[in-house]
Amino acid sequence: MTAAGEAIGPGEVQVLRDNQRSGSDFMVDVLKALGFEYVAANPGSSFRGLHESIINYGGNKNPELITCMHEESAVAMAHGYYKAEGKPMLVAAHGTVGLQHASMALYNAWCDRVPVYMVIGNYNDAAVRRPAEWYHGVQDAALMVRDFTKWDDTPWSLTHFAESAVRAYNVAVTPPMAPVVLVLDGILQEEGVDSNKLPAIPKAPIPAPPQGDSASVEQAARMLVAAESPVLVVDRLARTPNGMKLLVELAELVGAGVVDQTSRMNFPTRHPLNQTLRAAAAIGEADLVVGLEVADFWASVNVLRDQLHRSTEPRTKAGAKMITITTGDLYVRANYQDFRRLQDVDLAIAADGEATLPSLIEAVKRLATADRKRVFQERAGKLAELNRVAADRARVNASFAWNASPVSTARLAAEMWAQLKTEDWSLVSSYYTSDLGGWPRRLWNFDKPYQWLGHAGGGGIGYGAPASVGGALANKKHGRLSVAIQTDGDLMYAPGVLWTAAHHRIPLLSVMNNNRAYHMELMHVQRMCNARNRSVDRGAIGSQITDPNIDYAKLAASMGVYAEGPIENPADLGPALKRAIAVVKRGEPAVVDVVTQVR
Amino acid sequence: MRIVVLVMLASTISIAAQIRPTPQPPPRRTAPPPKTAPQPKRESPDDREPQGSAPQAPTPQQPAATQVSNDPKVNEGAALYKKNGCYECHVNDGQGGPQGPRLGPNPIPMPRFVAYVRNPSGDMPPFTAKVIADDDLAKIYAFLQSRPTPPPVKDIPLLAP
Repeated sequence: MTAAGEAIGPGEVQVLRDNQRSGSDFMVDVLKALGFEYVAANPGSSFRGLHESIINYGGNKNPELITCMHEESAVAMAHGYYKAEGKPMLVAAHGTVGLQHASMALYNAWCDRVPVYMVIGNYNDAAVRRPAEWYHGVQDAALMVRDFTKWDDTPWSLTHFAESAVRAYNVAVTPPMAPVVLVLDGILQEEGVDSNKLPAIPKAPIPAPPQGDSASVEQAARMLVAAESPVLVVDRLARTPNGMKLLVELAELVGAGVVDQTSRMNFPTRHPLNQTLRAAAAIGEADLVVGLEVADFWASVNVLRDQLHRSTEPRTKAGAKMITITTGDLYVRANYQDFRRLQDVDLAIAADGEATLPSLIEAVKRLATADRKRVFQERAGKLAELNRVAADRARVNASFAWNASPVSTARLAAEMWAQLKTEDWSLVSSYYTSDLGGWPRRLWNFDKPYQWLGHAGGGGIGYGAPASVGGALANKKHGRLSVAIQTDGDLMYAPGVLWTAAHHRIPLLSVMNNNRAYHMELMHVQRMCNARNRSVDRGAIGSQITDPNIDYAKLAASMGVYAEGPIENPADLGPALKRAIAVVKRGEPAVVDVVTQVR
Repeated sequence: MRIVVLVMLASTISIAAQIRPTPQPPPRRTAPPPKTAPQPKRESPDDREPQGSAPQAPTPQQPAATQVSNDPKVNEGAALYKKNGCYECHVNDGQGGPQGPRLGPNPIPMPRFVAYVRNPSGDMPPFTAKVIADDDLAKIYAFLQSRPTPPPVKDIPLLAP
């Protein structure tokens, strides 16, 4: 660490010598070696050295700076980017005020087990702080997010930085994945170092993900082959594009129904074995429930009734066997309670689900007799018919309130699908698609790994808008048409991300699901009114976003985003979407504000 | 920071929503049903059979306004349906959604409807007569009955498989 500034006289050190580079230049070397494409940041003086190195020394390419209006937006962008691209985005922020802004989005990413690579600035040496750095200075900068990050470090030298930077990357992307934080000392960034004395960059490979042990996998395969009505419940299973292929192979191999809880794009929505639209029935009928990377397995097989007297009951029939395969068993923290209730199961395999599927598939192939294969085939036929009936019923349900105003969410989804189905599309965010009853999952044909990016993870509102922009940024170079169903309450947390999309020419169609209230919270308050036998109509106080209504088209237009709306007549929606998609195809963002029914 | 906790207000929900960890509940009875009327059959939007087939909906150019009716009882019912938050789960036009089944245009018989509202078997919160009087429930019922029957799915190109 550095000596205090007053030890050196004024004028003696003004610029680096020709044979010197700054510490942050070397940091950029390391970040380039790690392969970051982008760094999302709201500028902050505590990482000014790194900022300058990125744009000048690094040429503002790999990583390229993405200007953000809020640190929460920057982290949520990185969250969405990871789920589209499969590799982390770098985020830079002040160590104090920036990290405090970023913390909610980090919590979402942690709950969602998504790696975000965050660097924060801090002047550790009190003797060199400018006045403003005192309230930006902190003893233990990463402390406030340590409960919901996987690892952090404060390097004290460039050698230390190089090792920790590579270690942080490997820690973040090894399942169970989660965000990491590196604290970059301001002086370490800014001081010069002789070019020929720079440390080496470690070449530590990313560790392979943990697979289930062979005996347990064999036991799971025996149970699957012997089951009469198995169901595969999946949530964060598909970690890579190969995850969906493997799940399809396993499901088809044993003729098992699949219930997709949609934290990832796990299984094609129109696959005949997809039983998501009749999930409760599929789980209720099952004699074997296999949970593959399910965040809340207890709630998958039990119900908590939210009345004044809370009660629970199982969803499964008596005697149903259960297996879980999840990295959740490898990573439990104490403070934040995202580990959920403990479910009795017959076999728990602490391993990565996707990494374990190949050996499970091979074991099933080995154990399946000709008789059992006939059973699997017959079962698959029955499940395909149930899938067809459920899909038909969903279309009938969508027809109700078809011409209503405000626009029904079913009509909204159908109008969007009509425009998207001939495109190479990616639904980068939608709160109501996270909900299994959401219309896109019922009406659209999701069959590619990038067509759905999951949801916030921690339930923190404000994820949707920035995660959409991050997902769209990743999709841009692949030429995909990114689309988001954007709720109004979510956008208003930090609408400045629309400017980021416009400034960086990030093509994204945001279709507003503008229902003018925080309806989920409104329902909670109404529930309390009911339980206390008091006026339910007052339950809307504090949750509605009306009087005045927000004009989202004007909001977007003010930041240089093409915008239409508010649209209240469903007949106006199709043409507006067409016009907006033309803009997005030119490489720019567009917002279509649609006033919708409540859900 | 506001955190969403997905909680269902409806007594019956779409089957799909039932296995998502946070949204909850298949119906579970904790109190006996009233003896005067049977509990309604457990239904969800996904379980129910399609209702009606005659196309009576407005043309695509004329959006259906929820509260437009010549019958004052229907209009009052529409206002009460909204005021009492029924639309939060059963959606603006009673068509149902992920968190509450479809209620119109063919609601369950009135006695069962009233009994269920007073003493729901699932996760729907109970509405006592102090919160919604019987007369007001009748108006809500009239509103639900008046909901337009949609065109057959085969006549809606956007809903083609």
